[in-house]
Amino acid sequence: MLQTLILAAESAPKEPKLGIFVNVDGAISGLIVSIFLMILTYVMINLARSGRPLPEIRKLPGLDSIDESIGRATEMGRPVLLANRSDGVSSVHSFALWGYLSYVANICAMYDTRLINVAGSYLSVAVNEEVIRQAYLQAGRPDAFNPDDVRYIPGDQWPWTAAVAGLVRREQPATTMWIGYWYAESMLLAEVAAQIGSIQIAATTNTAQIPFFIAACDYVLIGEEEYAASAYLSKEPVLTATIVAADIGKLVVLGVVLLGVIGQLINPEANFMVKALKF
Amino acid sequence: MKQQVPAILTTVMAIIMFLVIMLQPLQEMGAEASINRWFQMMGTVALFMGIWNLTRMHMSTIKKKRTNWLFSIWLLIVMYGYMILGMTQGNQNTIYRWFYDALIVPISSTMFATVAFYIVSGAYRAFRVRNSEAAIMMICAVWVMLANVPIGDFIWSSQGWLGGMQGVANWLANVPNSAVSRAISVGTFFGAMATQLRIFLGIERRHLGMSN
Amino acid sequence: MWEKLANIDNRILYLFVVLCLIIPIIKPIGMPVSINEDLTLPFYEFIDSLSEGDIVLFDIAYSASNDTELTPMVKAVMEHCAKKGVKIVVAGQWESGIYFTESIIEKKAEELGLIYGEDWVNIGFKAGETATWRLMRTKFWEGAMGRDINDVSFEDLPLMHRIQGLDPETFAAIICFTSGSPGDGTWITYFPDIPLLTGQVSVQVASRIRYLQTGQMKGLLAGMRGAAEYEQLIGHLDVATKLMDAQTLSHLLVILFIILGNIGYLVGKRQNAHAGY
Repeated sequence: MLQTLILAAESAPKEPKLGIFVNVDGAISGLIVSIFLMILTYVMINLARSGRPLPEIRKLPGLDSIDESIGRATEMGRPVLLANRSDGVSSVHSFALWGYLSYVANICAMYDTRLINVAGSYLSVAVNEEVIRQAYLQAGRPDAFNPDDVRYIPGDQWPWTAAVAGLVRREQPATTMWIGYWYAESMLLAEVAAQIGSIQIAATTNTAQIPFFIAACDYVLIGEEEYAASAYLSKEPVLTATIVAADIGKLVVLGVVLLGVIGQLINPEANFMVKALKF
Repeated sequence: MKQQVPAILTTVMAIIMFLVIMLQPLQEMGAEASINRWFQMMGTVALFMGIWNLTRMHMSTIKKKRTNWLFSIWLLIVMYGYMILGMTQGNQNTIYRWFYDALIVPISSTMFATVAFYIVSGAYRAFRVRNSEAAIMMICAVWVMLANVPIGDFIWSSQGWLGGMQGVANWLANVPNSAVSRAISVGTFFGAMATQLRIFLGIERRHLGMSN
Repeated sequence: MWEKLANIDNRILYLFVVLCLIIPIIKPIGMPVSINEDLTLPFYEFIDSLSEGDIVLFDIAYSASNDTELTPMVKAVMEHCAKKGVKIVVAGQWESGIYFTESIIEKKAEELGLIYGEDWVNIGFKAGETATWRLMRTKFWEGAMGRDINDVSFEDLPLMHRIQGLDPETFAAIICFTSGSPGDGTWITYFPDIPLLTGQVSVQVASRIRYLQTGQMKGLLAGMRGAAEYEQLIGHLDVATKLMDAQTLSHLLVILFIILGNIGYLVGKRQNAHAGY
């Protein structure tokens, strides 16, 4: 009986934080960060809408090179390949990808350059097709859109990689873009494309794969740069405002880190920042 | 309408999930478990959508006799054949298991093994001392490669000063590497958060077939 | 001459890679492996500190392509757990992983004399990704559909009667063998209160070490070297130890080609400068 009571007491839900929030480490501090970012984003968007100047975002050579590399493909009469394997429709990487896809498809439609898109998710491929169709429509070339160039290859890692490596060899794209979250296939794909002399632009947040892309690609967008592309390429002040908000958020984190370091140097036992962030 | 409904649904669902994860009373009501059960079911249904999508695409290829249409026939035979075999005979069936163990496993391993070759040619081409940054990168790479194999211990024992080759490699991994890795992660978090907020606020609309 | 060194044909490089991988497998050299005190030792010590009857969850989050690096770890850790009398629940975030390792784990359990249903259970792959695991946190049987990999009801498996939730009261640790996603991220994000140990493919190690420093991981086995070290710690030298020679030679080959490439590049550059190009 006593043991049952002890077990029941152990499994009973913990007291909520501030009477309502879940009792897990970092719940309140996480909430504060989220609300702070939301307000910051809202303020920045309103600033942009009112036409007031926002801080400039730095140049990203990888993104600036997209126009040039599509131009090269046009001159060579070879296609542009944009691929993503592992991200489904609910992934934030896919939303970033659609930013690239829309921009690249628009330029390809204007230059009359063939764009091949390969997706590994059966749900994303439908959205990809729609995004490309829309871009061609905007460029005034809906007739140039070829649905057969939006290809779905089931995203199981190595069969997908083999299929795309084969496609690269056959189609010989002059420009290749690897956008999204990549795994070990990054080295193989980038190396195959390098061997056919393709200009390569890669964007990933997976720190484990960044070195491989750096070794084999011409331009690599690291971490958040992948997400920034959508806003950067559109040059819409409202979208750029969200990047500015995120950058201010990073500065705040830097401040928190510095405060934590100073706190630890003054009183190593207190762990005041760890305690504050655990709240 | 076609674009507005999904945008509204996205925002409403984001608010619900936020509240469910944050508020204890909703957790105690089992709201998170219920929503997770929905996701579980939706994920399973989405699989059928994938089968339908694949069938539709390849049937169209076969009908129009596009390039490599014979492979599309082969794909449909394999997909439906393997599915029927699994559904009728169960996943412990010898033939079902044989296809997996004797074909998929070795083919996948072989594909992964080819990465070793590409790493060598990639490293050979990339690690050139073009400038001081490239030189630092190359020295660190060579050091870590040596430290990760037994010969590193022969060169400089881990029992020695600074923990030997492995001690220095551990320091490289623990201090400069972790610092950079964390910085990228913090940036990635804020980048992802900004993207999610753009979707949440309905200002990112490309996925709905709209231009921004 | 020097330019040739800077532009060696890929096929020649690949031929040397084949030789460096095959020769040591046919004729092993047997180089001793030292134990990494930052990564492998904390992992070993954690498992060693567990008591008889404790339950751990093995998460198989990799596919056949990573068999060489990760399966030796699974076997070595399983052996250590068996020696300590720790109960094992095998589950899989990757469908392909759980099915191809099924027979390997079964064989190892048989070899270790473990009784299915009492000492270990394989609940198989569970669809639904993180949503499923989060459901299992409070309702393990419901989230796991109440059946093991062979469709046997949890009712018939005595070990499963001790498990009602994927929580720290039930599980002493989660041991995730992973080569990608979904993998350790699921456990770091949604189960921070259960001690996490991971076995990683080498390429992921650099990006995971920081989790050791923050205490979000209690130990990390790094690729084949990690497996070889673990085999040494439990006193059963197996396949990972044998394959370390091939890894050593291939690393040396990469270094050799990098040096040759740089000699060719630098001398070629100097000659071009002298020639006034």
